[in-house]
Amino acid sequence: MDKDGRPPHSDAHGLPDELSDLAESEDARQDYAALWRLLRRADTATDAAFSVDAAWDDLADGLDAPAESPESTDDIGPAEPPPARRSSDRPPRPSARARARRSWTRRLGVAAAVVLCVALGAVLWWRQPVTVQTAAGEQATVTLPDGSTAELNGATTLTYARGFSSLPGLDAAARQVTLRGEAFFSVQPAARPFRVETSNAAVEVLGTTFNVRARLQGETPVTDVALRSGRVRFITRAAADRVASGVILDEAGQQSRLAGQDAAPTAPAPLDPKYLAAWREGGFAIRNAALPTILHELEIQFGAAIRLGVPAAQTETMTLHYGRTVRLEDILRDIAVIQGLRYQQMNDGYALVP
Amino acid sequence: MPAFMAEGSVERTDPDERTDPDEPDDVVSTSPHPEASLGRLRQRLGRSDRDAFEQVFRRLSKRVFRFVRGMVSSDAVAYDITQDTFAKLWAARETLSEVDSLRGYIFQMARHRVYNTLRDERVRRSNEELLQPGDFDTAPPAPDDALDAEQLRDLLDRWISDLPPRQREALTLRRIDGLSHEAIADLMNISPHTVNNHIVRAMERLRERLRTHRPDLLT
Repeated sequence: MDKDGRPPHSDAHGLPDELSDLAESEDARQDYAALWRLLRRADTATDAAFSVDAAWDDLADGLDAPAESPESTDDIGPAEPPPARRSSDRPPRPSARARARRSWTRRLGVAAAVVLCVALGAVLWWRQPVTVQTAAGEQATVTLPDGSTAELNGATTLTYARGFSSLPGLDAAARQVTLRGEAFFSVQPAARPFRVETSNAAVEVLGTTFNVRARLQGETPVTDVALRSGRVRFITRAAADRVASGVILDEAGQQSRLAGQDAAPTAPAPLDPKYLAAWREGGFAIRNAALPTILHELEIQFGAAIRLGVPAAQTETMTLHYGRTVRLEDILRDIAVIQGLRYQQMNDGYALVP
Repeated sequence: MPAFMAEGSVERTDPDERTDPDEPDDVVSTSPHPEASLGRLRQRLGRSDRDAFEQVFRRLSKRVFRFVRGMVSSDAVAYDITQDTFAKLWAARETLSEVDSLRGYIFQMARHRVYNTLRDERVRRSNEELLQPGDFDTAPPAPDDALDAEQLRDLLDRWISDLPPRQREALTLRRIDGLSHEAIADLMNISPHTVNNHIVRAMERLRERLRTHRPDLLT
């Protein structure tokens, strides 16, 4: 700590004491010190970019200063400059009443500015999209401004405009949401279409219930849509405005997949309804999926890390269905039995090993 | 967030500091003009003493530039703001006797200009970037391991400009010679404890970026 109540010691290159004290570990302290040295080195570049002499010359030219100031060469400075110079250099002070009037108009100006800022802030706030995010292993239900709901599975981000319904003076925003991850939508019927966008696809509906899952397989965005009721149009995002493109799902239990940016959705195929959004009941369902994909889905839904201790090529695709609340350990035990593996609990999750 | 941020961090107060608000600057600074205190210069400035103004400029302009540059990430903009700050100081020279601390006043003026600039920039850019935040997580490829100061600054700038403004400001001010963190707390109008939090969070974030992208620089 400091001696004599002096300001904390700030060595030109060393880490300031208080940062050193606040580092949570010796590791962090060393990193802070290294980082501080880097910042100091970067500062020399900043200092080099500013020449005090040149800047002063620049500035001095523009000052409304007296041509010469003989008295100021004296370093101590005179007690009072000569009156003649003062009057030429400085405008007479306004009267007290003039100053009061000015301060009153200024206050009015400030008040107007504040009102303007608040109004502007309200508009900006209104136009700011709302984002709802779940962590892996977490689920949430979002009620959208039009009364539609979205149930989010784990590791999912849903973004939507605040103004689905209109505000005086502001147009109603489109009923549009952006999805990363997986969600089950129950859409309120209305004249305006409801639209779900993923990174590569869009789903347009009028009033219906359906599940959308947007994932990355390696670098490729893949979006799956499964219909529970009603009717949706499933299109690539690029072609989102062309009415004719894409496929229409209009029978309960149909599903379609769109992989990549420029592809077309697969033809609607029937899906046993029990596989549709089993996650909503706390269950888990997946069809004909590779083991790494299954483990990844389990990680998202249960929020635990799962390591595969054998090459993916030595494992087989699987179909799993758990209709209601199920424990991760039970699923892993079943997988282990089917694949001829064992599962182990690690301190940071699970591992499937030979 | 690390647990130490939650409660009771190191509080430092300097009971003797406040006799003349401008003195602490001289105590810790490496100023080449130890002969005239800022308090004295302020009085002379009030009498339109151009020489005193030059001394103030020579003593503080580089630090003001460093602060502004840390906030705006452009040499040209930082230069303009710095010059404008001192031009306004000259224009306001007659009212300086009401000012608590000359140094604090100058930094405060610079700060207002910085925030105005950042706000204008944000408004200008918000329409294009509303839904697509910049990709600050990638480091530019480095030609070789030994970065010169300029390359290093470009590298750090990207990550620093991604910090929340208050964190960036606290960190930038702390990097200026001669500004104690009590002075920073005064300037930002927050407690020294909060200053610490801002700085540590900023350091933690930069550290994380470095560990991810340039672990070689941390050794």
